[in-house]
Amino acid sequence: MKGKGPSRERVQTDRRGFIKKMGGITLSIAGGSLLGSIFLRYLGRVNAQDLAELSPYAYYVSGPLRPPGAVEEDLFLKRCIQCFLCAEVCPPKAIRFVRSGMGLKANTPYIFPRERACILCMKCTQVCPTQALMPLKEDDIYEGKKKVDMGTAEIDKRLCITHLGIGKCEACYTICPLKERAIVQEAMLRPRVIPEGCVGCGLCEEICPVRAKAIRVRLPGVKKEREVLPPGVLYF
Amino acid sequence: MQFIRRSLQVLVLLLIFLVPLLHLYGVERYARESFSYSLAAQRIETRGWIQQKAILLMDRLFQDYEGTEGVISSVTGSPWSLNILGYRISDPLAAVSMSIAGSGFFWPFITSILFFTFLSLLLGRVFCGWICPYHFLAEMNNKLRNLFSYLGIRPHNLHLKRRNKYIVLAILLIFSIIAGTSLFTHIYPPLVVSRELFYYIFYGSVGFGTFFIIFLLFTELTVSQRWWCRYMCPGGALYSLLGSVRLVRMVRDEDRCTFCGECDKACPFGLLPMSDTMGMECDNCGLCRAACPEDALSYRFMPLWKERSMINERKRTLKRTGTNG
Ligand code: SF4
Ligand code: SF4
Ligand code: SF4
Repeated sequence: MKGKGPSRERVQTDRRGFIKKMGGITLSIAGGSLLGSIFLRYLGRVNAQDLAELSPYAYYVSGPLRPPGAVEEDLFLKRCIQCFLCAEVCPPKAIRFVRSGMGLKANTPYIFPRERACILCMKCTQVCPTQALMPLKEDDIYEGKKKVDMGTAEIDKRLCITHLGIGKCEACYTICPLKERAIVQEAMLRPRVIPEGCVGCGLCEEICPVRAKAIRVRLPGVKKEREVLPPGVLYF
Repeated sequence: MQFIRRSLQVLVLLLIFLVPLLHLYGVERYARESFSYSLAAQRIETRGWIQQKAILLMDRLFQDYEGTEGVISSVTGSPWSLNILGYRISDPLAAVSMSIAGSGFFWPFITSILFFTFLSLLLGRVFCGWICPYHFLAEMNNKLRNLFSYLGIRPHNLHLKRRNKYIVLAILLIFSIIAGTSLFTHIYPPLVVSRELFYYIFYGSVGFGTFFIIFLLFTELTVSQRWWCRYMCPGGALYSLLGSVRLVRMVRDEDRCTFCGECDKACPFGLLPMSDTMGMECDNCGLCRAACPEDALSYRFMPLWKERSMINERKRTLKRTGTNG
């Protein structure tokens, strides 16, 4: 460094200040992520979709709906490298990303079915490089929860037009790709969800004409590492 | 050689710009066929100017062409994780951070990093100089900086320690273990650049990453020349570590060198080719080679131990004779 006495001093104090600043930033990021992860664990117990109406932030951090084939949430965060391949191949553009600044889940894929639901084409599961989304075939949905487990639809009888007896809306039954497996019609065409068969794609939620959505996809209580692991497990 | 390097860099930038547009066209095609009202609405409303123009252009290109789906699905992703014609190429940092965050080793993914890994074992930080999209932006930024200096505005130039980036790598790896998810993805510029471009093209909005990149470029312009790549980038640190055993390196020919110092000025990474301190950090940009008026610098096949002994030899001569060479 060529420069005379005073300027060199200034550069040095500058440098020290800069290093201090960088140290501060690093420490605060580190501390923030530590506190954040504890916070996330706590929030993880709350049902995400209930929170969605309150605040999107709470929705993101408490476990948004993941694309089909997603492994259990903790493992998903470990595996997902946020490469956005899944969103690129999704034909209806159902996959979105958690906004940055939303804690450790920032930039991970999720689905918000009431705006755009998944059509279960399974393209995302085949393109994911790390098996954060386990590879699935299109037929796998007929095995229900055993293979595909995004969530479970729930009917709110206080809102459903048919349940209230106002009219005869068959929207959710008509659109469901798993008719009679996941959703059945009872007396007076009232829809009823069969949790074992429902894969949680959210097409019913997307199409429901009630503004507040009388049928909603909720996260499953416990997601196990499902039996879709290909033969000869590739993870060690 | 600079021409080849520049073309490759532009090609990579084009790749991370065009691939999302291609896939957006796929979405558009799906929306046209489907009867869903929300998709139809989406089709008309939320597209920016670039997206609309690109879709019109691709409509004309793919007119009467049968294999459009095949073309669209033939290439996906960015250099962070690229899926091209059925082959996968990924960044070593992705595999390292993911494995260390607790996912375990996933062999198909590990094999996909082999391409860049071997390249680094052979050539060191070749990813940085030839592929990284941020590096290209930063080089253009540096040109602006040189213009400022030329006009008489002297920007600050802070020097930090080079080992900072290894510390950043180590700290982030440790915190990735604690947090249980990879933290590099938020700050690793090549990924951030491609992801923000993707967000813009697909969703019409950008995230925090854009501000991060602007912040980096601005500080590199005003405070410290190329500080991110030189002193901070964890990816660069990983590539340097891989490149510490590199087989091909830039070597200075002592008989030709006249110690004019042009190469030291030219190096964007602040290395000093004139005193043989390139080693594992050199990114093969070849600017020093281009700057040398005597053609004294060239790529040679030279393993680590040979370089060491060569440098020691040169030092000894320097001590004995008091002159260089
Ligand atoms: S299965 Fe198909 S529609 Fe559903 S999220 Fe994946 S790519 Fe999108
Ligand atoms: S393709 Fe897999 S790793 Fe990539 S963003 Fe989607 S879920 Fe994550
Ligand atoms: S150091 Fe990092 S940001 Fe710079 S060129 Fe290398 S990978 Fe890109």
